[in-house]
Amino acid sequence: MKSPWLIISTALLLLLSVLMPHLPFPSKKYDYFFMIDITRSMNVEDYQNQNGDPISRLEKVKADALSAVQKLPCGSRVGLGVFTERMPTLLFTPMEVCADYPEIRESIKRIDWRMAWVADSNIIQALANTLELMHTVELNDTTLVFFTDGQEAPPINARYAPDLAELQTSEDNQPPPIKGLLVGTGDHALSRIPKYDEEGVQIGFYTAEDVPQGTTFGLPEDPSKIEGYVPRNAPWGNQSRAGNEHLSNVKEEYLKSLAEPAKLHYHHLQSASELYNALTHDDFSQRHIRQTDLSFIPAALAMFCLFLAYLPESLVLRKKGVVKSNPVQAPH
Amino acid sequence: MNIAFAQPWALILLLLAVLPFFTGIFRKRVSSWNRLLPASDATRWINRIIKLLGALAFTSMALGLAGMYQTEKTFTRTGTGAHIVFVLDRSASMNETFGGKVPDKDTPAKSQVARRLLAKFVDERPHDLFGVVGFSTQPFFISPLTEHKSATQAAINSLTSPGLAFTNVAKGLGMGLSYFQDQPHTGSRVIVLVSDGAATLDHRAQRVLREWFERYQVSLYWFFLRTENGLGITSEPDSPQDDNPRVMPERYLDQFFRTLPIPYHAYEVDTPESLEVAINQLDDLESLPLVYNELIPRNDLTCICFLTALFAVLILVGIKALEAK
Repeated sequence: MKSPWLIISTALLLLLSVLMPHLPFPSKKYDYFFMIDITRSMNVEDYQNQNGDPISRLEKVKADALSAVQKLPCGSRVGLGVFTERMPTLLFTPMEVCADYPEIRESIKRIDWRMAWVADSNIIQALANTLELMHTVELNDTTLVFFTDGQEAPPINARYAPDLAELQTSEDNQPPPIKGLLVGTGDHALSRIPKYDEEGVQIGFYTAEDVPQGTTFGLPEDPSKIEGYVPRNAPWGNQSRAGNEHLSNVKEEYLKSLAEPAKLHYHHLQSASELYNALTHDDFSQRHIRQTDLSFIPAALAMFCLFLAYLPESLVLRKKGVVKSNPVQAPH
Repeated sequence: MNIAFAQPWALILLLLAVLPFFTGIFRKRVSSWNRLLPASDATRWINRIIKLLGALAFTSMALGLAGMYQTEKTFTRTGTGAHIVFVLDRSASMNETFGGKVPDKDTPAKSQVARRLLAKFVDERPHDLFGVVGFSTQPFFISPLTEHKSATQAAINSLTSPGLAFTNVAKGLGMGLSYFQDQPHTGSRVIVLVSDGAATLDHRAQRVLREWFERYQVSLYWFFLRTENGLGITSEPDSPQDDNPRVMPERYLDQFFRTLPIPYHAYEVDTPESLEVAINQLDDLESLPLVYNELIPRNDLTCICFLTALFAVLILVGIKALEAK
């Protein structure tokens, strides 16, 4: 077994690993555009941090989105935007998650509900406008991740809602429909929405009188069901309505009904690891060819050969069997 | 030399480096009497060298397989440059062209022109740190002061998304100034306000801004993207009745900036070309000595490891070839 060939092949394999160029090798990466709801209902504190202290939905979204970003493979990219009322805005186009991680972290950390430039919360319009925005700023191949609790304030008139299915279909798939994930935030139980003054100091909670309890926009679908309907003077009736619009929970049914026509996935935000799993669904991964250094393969083989070359003869002989070693011993 | 490993678990292979001290690569030969082959000093040394070569080969292969690399380093150097914060107006009127029209193929919107020129400017200033703030009715944090140009470029791209609501200059500047709170004072500090409108500042905002500009010693550049036939910084009021901040906010904002105890430059920009001229002037003016960090990227050492192993093994091959058959 102490033949020169083992050590010669070690040398050849090492030569190969030194000279080997980087080979194109397929690997996965992800491109996301995070769009985060910064309307007031996101201030509801119905999540808990690791210490069990209550944190707001917005803080939860920021923390979990960040830890998901941290886990993404290098080469993936993340862009960021926020929306309020029905208007989304772009904060930055996708950045690479490894090289620019400090900037992504800082920007996500600094998202604040007080960035909101208007106060209403019109989720379905915001979603439709986000899809359009992504076409405008040429993020067609990027996966939309839309964080919201689904609280429409004021409530919308479904007759005038945009048709998400139509937005996501186009002739010859040009531009292609946008893939994405709708992330519902909040607890299933209803909670009160905190109210702040101009300085950002909490001054209590919204009460039933503070918010419209039903829509008064446009024309009702079926006037006969509305009490006190007068076509000109009271198209929405003359009765004050009671409701729970001042309380908020995650509107899962509603969000699913948005996700379905828009062909988006739906996920209810609970933990960072579950969010990461939902984000790295196969539908969202992009194959890309990466120049990969594979020189470790011949080097490992070289090491094995050298190891064999050094292996004590006695061990090798034992492996080869007793039969062969016996005749050698015999003359003694 | 900061050495680290990509796959530290492979370092266990280092144990193999002791192998050459217990066994050899040569055939054991039977000799009739050991005393016939006395060990000379030369053979002892050669024997040690052969063992060391084997150990070297194993060690360097193990280090190579563990993915040895030199960690990235930041060198502190001194050059010329600045800490620049762009405070970008994201109000709805930025979507229009300089002519106040809806943009088309030949005449891009003001925001697009600004984006292109700022992106070029960022590329041409290698040592500067850039931060980006957007503002409309409220300010929003876009990217921190950073030397990563790719991040700054991505942040400037935010100008491609449609504008939002009103122009609240005071809050935008306030957030821009807050970037300098924890920054070491080195090089020039600059705020570049890019806006196409102005707003009245109340007394409280004026006092806070004056105090902050003075405390952080930040110079201010105002690139006012003037719409054709619109009011400008230097517009004179037609009648004394019009001479008030409600009617002429630009004029009054400019007058307020002039009273600040810091260098202030205003550029009224009404064509893409004049914006370029303004940016070139900023380029010339802001180059104080700056202590900046230069990043030396991580240096992969696996190839060197394998080369060392190859060198050791080649010598061993040579010695093996000399082995008596």
